[in-house]
Amino acid sequence: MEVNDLITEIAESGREAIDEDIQRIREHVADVGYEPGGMTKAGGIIAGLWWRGRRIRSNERIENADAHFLRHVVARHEWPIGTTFAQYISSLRPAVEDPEGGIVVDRIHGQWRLSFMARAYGATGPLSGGWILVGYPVKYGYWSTSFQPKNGLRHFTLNEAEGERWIRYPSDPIL
Amino acid sequence: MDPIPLRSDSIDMDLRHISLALTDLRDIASDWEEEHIATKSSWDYEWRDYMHQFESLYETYRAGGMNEGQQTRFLALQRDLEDSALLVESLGLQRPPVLSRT
Repeated sequence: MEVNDLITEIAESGREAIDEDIQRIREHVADVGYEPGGMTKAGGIIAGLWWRGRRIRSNERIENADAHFLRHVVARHEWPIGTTFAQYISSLRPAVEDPEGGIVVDRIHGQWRLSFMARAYGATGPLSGGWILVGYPVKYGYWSTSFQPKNGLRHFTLNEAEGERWIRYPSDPIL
Repeated sequence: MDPIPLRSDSIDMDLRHISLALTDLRDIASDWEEEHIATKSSWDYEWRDYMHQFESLYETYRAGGMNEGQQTRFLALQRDLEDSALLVESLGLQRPPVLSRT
């Protein structure tokens, strides 16, 4: 079974994910990263920042990975001050692969999504919530988001209507 | 456990960022159905985080931890969020918290 089919089967059946499932899912999602060429609107929070030799405008579309780096590292200081784009991206794959980390499944606009939550360890900036979140909409097949939510694990409200539940709870869930 | 007091520069940043995010959300709302699932997913995560930040700002406001200018901007933001609650909800995002009248 393909990994995305496996995720969908776990999400729809409500069954527990076994260790082998979790391992396959982590390896697959860690590999995909952000969609090359995937674009999003820059938005006001990073408007005016200099990036790749030019000034960002609110209404322009920029690469997803760039947008998240500028928003969460440069503007919001969730990673240590001075973290580079390469360091930010390098901190994300271990968060997905971390066997101590947790995984939430939920449904957004009718599509299943996984959220990987792992301790930020040495990657905590002044406004870190202590945990790195990497989002993976299953049908899309790439990461959609990576940031450090203010409330850490309490970011998730476990909305039953959207099927939101932990399929793997963190091993050391200090909130 | 009592919430950790927010630093003044953090209050300024959160007030500014939540306000900018709300402006962006209003801009994007008319084209929301055409937006990519990656963008909608990102908004879902980040908007929830902004609302958690807003709740922390509220606690700071109630505890008297804001200067006069911050209080004014907080109350304006609170009004803006309340005015936009239906729009936010229609996009499938977390409705801004209803706070007791301040």
